Amino acid sequence: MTAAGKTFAKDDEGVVVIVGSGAGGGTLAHELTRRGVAVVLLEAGPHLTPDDFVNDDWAGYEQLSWLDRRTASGGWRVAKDHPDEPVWHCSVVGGTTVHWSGCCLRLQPHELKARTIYGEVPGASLIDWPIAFAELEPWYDWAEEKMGVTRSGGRPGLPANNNFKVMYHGAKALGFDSVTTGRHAINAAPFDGRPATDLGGFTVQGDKTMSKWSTLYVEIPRALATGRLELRAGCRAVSIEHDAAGRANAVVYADAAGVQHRQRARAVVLAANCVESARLLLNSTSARFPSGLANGWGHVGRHYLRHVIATVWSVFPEPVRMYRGETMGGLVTEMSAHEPERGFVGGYYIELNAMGLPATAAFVDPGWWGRDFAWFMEHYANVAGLFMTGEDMPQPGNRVTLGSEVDRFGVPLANLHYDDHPNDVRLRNHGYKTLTAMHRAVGAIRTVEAPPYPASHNLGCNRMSAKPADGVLDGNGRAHEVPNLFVADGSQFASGGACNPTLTIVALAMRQAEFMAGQMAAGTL
Amino acid sequence: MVVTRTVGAYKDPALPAPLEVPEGEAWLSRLTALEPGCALTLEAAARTLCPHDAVPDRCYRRVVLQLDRGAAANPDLAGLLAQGAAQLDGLQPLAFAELSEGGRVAALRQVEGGPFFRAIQRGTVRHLYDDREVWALFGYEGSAHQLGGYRERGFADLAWLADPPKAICEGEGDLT
Repeated sequence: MTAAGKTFAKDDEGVVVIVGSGAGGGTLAHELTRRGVAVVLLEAGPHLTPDDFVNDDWAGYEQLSWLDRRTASGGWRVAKDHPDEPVWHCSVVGGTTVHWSGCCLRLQPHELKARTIYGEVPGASLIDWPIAFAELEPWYDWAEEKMGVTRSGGRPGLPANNNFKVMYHGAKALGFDSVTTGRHAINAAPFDGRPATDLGGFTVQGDKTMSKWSTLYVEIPRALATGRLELRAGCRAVSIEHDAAGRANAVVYADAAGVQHRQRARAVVLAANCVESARLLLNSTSARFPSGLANGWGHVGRHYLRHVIATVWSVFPEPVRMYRGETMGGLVTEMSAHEPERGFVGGYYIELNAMGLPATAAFVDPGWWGRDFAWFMEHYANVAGLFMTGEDMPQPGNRVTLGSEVDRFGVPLANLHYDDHPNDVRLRNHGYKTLTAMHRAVGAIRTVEAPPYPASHNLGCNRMSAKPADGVLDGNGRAHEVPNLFVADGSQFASGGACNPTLTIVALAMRQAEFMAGQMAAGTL
Repeated sequence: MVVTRTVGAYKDPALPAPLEVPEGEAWLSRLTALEPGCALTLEAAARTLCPHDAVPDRCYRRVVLQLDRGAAANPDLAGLLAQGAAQLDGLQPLAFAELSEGGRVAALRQVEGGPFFRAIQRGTVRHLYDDREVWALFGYEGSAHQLGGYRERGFADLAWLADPPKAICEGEGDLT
């Protein structure tokens, strides 16, 4: 694929430098450049094309994922099962929009006012978003149109696959009349010059047909076509510098050969996926910001959220072949309401889940072995899957910190600490029981509660807050303490809500681009 | 109930061919880092961890050859596998591979939780279920794009449940 459309000098002080090219950074790059703003987009990973992607669980994982080591601590099971890779995101142009399963749900109005609606939850550091739902709503509309979300804008939903048939009958048996194939940024019919999905089932290994929206082949080529974007792939940001006035003025990064460079900047935007954006701020220390850039209030890296994620895999007497069709093409919304009489605040969505045989073996229950495990694997063709994503409680101690060991760029490794909140435990158990009941109602002969795998909904480490004392960013994703430093990834979320986060990240990036371009036009940025 | 159903299974055409495994003891000649005795112990361990009677020996040997490749690239792993296999062999008056299945399970339980067990259990799961022969036996078809996905090849061919109403699957309109 052709790379950079434009070349900017390293000492060009007029460019906005964006770190990360996924849902936040890739979208923002397009939305800024089409408004006339010059952008340098740094991406740590390589620039691949859809032809490079492979229909293979492990080879796809190894090709797309961020594989540099991290460490994990805390009571969550991920720290035991996946201690070196507690989170899962991509390192490739397009970021995790290459890997994602395309689910596009909106936060619910009450979820943006979590502290007000849920009240005080002991041990939780809940706050309200500094944005009202009504402010976000038009941006959701535009994001859905940009991405071609199914079941919006007159577009049809994804067709029902085998796995959905099982989900549908289970949902109906439990009285969940909301059940549909859901909303996805995956074309059920041709849209925006891209084809309908071939229902091949390899969405999360990179969509070779481009039926799924990704910044790799939708936003970034359009940004390059403006002549105002330089894309630098294979470039790993190391730290952010600021001037005497406390304004960010450069990003230090290492290129693919490991050589360090310094790109001057008019403004800096971090969109490197939650953990890396927090790690970059923590690694950017100075006399003015001794505990990390924009970290005067001590919130950088804290209130890490990863959603209450779980899967139930069930064996049926007859074949399901769940791997055929789109991975997550099923949705039940009833459980997403806030109904504290259930014993927990917040809610969860029930979605479809499928994995190939290699990933199923690795994630069904890491460490499981022997005849029982073998029996389950021999019945792979008869397995159906259900998934839940629910709201987890922010806690100040759930956080990214820097360890003593450094990586090959000299940056300390990130440690991710997470302990379940009692609300998380109650919500997870409610979800497991619901998913299991759905499958049992359709005749499952065995159900397995799979633990969470490395987190892909990574949120909340640089959260927005109305008051600077409560977070890192204001309602435009701008650092309270550094007026030209922004965050555009999921780390800006003030609270997690229940739904898959990408649609909200895209809507926020579009809104942020308008804010930034407006400030620039007014001469204040 | 039919437990296994052989299907056509495909590796992505862009990926390298699987490791060749010569029949009989000749497979041991493909080792580059591990000793033959260690490899035979690991083969028995792999079959005990993931005991599929219908899966031929060559699939388990392929797992050991993958572990051997890892050991060749990582001296720490080579040492861990050699010492762990020797430990397994020393637990009973018989070598590990000579034990009954129950005896092998009991021996593995004794080392479960340690780094050697973790390496062989994770390694076996990683490689055994990445094997096209295993996919075919357990009904997983693998790579689909080269065949046009499943749009015309049965993405909704499950026949033991009624089809959901088309409007629910493909209809438009807001979700509540």
